[in-house]
Amino acid sequence: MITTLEKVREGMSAVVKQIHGGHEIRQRLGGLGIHEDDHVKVLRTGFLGGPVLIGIHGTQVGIGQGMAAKIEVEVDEGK
Amino acid sequence: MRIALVGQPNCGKSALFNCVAGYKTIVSNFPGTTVDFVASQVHLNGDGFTLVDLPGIYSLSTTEREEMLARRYLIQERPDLVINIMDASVLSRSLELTLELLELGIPLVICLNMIDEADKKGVEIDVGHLSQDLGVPVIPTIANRGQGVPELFQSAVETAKSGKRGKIHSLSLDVERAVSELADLFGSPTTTTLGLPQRFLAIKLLEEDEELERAVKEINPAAMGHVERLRRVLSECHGRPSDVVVSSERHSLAMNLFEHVAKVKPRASKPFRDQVDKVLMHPYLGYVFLAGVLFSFFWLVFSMGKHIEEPLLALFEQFAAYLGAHLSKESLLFTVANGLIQGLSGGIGIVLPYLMPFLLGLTLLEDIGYLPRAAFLMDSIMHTIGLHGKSIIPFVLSYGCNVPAIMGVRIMERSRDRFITAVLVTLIPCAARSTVIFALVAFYLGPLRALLLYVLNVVVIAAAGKILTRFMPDASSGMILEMPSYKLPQFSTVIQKIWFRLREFIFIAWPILIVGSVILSLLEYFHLADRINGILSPFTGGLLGLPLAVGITLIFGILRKELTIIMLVQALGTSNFAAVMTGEQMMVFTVFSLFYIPCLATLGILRSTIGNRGMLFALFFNTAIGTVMALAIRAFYWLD
Repeated sequence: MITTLEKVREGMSAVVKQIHGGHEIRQRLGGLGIHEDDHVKVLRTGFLGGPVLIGIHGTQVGIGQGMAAKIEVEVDEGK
Repeated sequence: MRIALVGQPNCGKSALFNCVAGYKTIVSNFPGTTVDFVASQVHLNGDGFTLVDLPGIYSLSTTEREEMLARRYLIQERPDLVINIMDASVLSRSLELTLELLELGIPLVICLNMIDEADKKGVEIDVGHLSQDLGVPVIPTIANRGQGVPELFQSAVETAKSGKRGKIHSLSLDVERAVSELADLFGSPTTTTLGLPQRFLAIKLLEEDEELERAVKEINPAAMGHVERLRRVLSECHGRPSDVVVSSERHSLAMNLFEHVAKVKPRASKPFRDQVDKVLMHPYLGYVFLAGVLFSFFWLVFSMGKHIEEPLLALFEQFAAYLGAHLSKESLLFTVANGLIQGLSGGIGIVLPYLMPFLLGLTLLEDIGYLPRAAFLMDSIMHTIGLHGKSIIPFVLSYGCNVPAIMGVRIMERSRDRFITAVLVTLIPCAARSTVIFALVAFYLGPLRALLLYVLNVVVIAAAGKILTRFMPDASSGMILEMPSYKLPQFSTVIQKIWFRLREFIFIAWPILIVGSVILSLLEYFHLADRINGILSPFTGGLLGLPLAVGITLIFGILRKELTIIMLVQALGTSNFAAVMTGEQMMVFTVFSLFYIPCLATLGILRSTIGNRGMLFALFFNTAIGTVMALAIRAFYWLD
């Protein structure tokens, strides 16, 4: 299922498909190790419009709702 | 010899810097920059070099201002050697920056830091292989315990002397072709002017680097046509923009290197941090805990401060009284001495009681790794005034004292966020301004009115935040924040950090306070108080409808807010304010003193945090808010 990162349920894994919103956002996310085709796991979903917490490459990164909405992902249905 | 420390944020760079701070002789802040890059002269085993601590950067492709400064230093100043500090526990990500640094062609040594953390995570790294793959020395360290640090610097000095550079890794064939075509095209004139290796320039241009693109347009405008053509070729071949093509290449190169040199063992038990985070970042419990932390922090700073401040100030008063008995009270000498004592005691009255417990608490929270969690929880709430989660800490602490709160603004990376938070923080009534609220409003007009003032204050701050963020819109697309693992703070690091921050107050804000204090004593000596009241009368009497004698108390309030009430007693000749002021006047006076010009110590620290212009802005902005709010109170009474 293709969706955006802020909509993924807690505990689900997903693969980053595309990062929308241009050069700057790609660079900021890339710096933290988030690229297309990377596997991420949603550890906390945004509470009351708060940020999403994801696990990626052995680290944890908090991403604000606005930015998470620009990350298109494919949810792993198996997990 | 100049050695620069480069690494991603939170890789233990400062721990390493502090580690060698013991050998340090001079520390200077770089002039003209808002970000503190610290340089320090280090002597080690007979070799002397300058160690430059650059702000943390995730990548050399950046649009963030602070990261840009670090990059410009590397490109324009070209240090003799770069120590690339890597957090061993996030090796694959750290390697992406390393690959970029290698392209710069500056001799490099890798400090594989937090090797113990990696071990705990089950990541086993083959240091020999890593060193071979990158062609540079790799030294494993645990910087906060000083482990491996002497070996690191020894290797750094040797490598700098030999000038040995690391390996440059090839990208895939078609990207490599585009890169070398561009590199050849630039030839030496362009790259010499920019001081960059051709290959680095070519890669960065394919990555759509704006700064370098501007530079090339000036020097060699014809080349840009080729750059655009090659970008198109790449993006057509790969079906994604050329910057994504290049960064994905680097990403997969880093992943391959990681797989070659590291083994990850599966872990049997759930990591400690996950169990703690279950509570600390829980959607409900997390907030309860946060409120508890902030409350106890505030309580610690406020209560401890009060208990220490009072006896300290009494001591100074005794000394002033002793001087008064021996020198003639009317003499110029006594006036100057008294001003000096006031200034000194003002500094000590803030430093010891408020700043020390604050800095201790902040440093502990910072080193444990709680601050990013607090920021995470508060992000959506702070967004309503256009700021991010991190600004919650200075806001809460400001109720104790504005000075440490403004220092706390440094935990934010962006200068815009620092500026807005620093300005807003000065609007919060600190303990001293609260005494005005208590002594005038709560005492004479009732606690409900006093509470109302605090609520009004929060509303005004939210509105001011809205106004400021309207003029300085958030250029970032929102928060993105790494959550570090929890760490046990190291005693020596904590002490060093506290001293680093304390020193700034002592050498920058305190002198301003002392000079201001002497000037005010002189005003009194030359009987200029009436003159000042006269000058201020159109404002105090005319506009705000206050007794003329309060003019001078407002001036003294700038020196120290505690003086406002004391001077009010002196100026009005009574401590029974109800006899000489109406309820309206009390409200107007309190509201105006709540918002107008911050105290000198606050101005001093504002100046060193957001610069001269920022300080002047805060001064006018706050006074304007104070005036408008005081007039609003008058209007309210008039309508009533």
